[in-house]
Amino acid sequence: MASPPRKVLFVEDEAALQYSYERFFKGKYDMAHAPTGAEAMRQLESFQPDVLVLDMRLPDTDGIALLQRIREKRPALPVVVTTAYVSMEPLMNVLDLGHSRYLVKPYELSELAAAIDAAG
Amino acid sequence: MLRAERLRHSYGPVRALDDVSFTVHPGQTLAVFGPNGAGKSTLLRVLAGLIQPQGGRAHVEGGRRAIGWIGHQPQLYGQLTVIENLRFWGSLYDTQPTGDLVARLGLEEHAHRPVRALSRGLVQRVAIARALVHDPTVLLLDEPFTGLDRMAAEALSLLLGQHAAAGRATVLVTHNVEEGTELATDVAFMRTGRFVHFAPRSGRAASDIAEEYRNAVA
Repeated sequence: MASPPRKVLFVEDEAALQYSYERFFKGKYDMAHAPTGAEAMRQLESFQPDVLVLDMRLPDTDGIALLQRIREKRPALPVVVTTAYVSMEPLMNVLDLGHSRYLVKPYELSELAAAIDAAG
Repeated sequence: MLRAERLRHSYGPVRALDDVSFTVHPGQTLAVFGPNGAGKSTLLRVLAGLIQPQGGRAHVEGGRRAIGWIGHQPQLYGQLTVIENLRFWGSLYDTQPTGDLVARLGLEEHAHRPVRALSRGLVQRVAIARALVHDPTVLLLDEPFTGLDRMAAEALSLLLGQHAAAGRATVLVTHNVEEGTELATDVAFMRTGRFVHFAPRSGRAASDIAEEYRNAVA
């Protein structure tokens, strides 16, 4: 029997990217979306994702602070960090690389799928 | 056409949306004014499909593809040229930027320059082009004039006027009553998650609306 699709929470405030995730990953993942840190924390409780895709630039918080709050609640949650930052140095202090991966924007959606599938 | 039906959404004890309903028809431009924390941005994100509301529903004719979004961030890649950025964002909607769009924003001579080499005003114009690259029929704008230089603000006003004249719908939210009033066909005031005023603009001057806003929201 096929296993149920993984539950992926996309934390991304860009409407076009959310739209493309919705189309590209429909049927592949069980998806929820959050465009802000506040909504991400709410969905973390209500949706209980298996994997989190987290954009580092959000309107109400920075991704590093949000990732620290997420780690307090779900220390082992696999996280795929997406960022347009060229330097990843600030992230190295907070990322638990055993459970996290990162992609530099812009990327192919197939690359994101591979990162999600490999996470955790 | 865009319709909000009894929208509700909370963050813990904070009601960001508290039973909000309205309709925006083709050709209408709704300006929603409210102080910080009134729920304006949450409203816009629910309309855009970025947030699933805890109660009620939002409907946009044509679905998410019909929506163009302009927010605080330009959402551009500095290492890519103007045209490469527009092609990238267009590809998410299976489309490509038109020469007309590039020309309307005065970007022809800059098309092959990397975005990181452009002035702030030019970057703002590229960001507007990016939001329009898939020819959306509904525009959602979050504080769209904040930080724009004069040329970018004029370009945006012109484009919003053309958008409405083509029978398309717009919702813009802002805390600044001076911004966007001239473009609005309808005006709403928002406070603690609720519309406390929603009416056609009916030729009211910006100064009159500003006074009504102060009385309703202060």
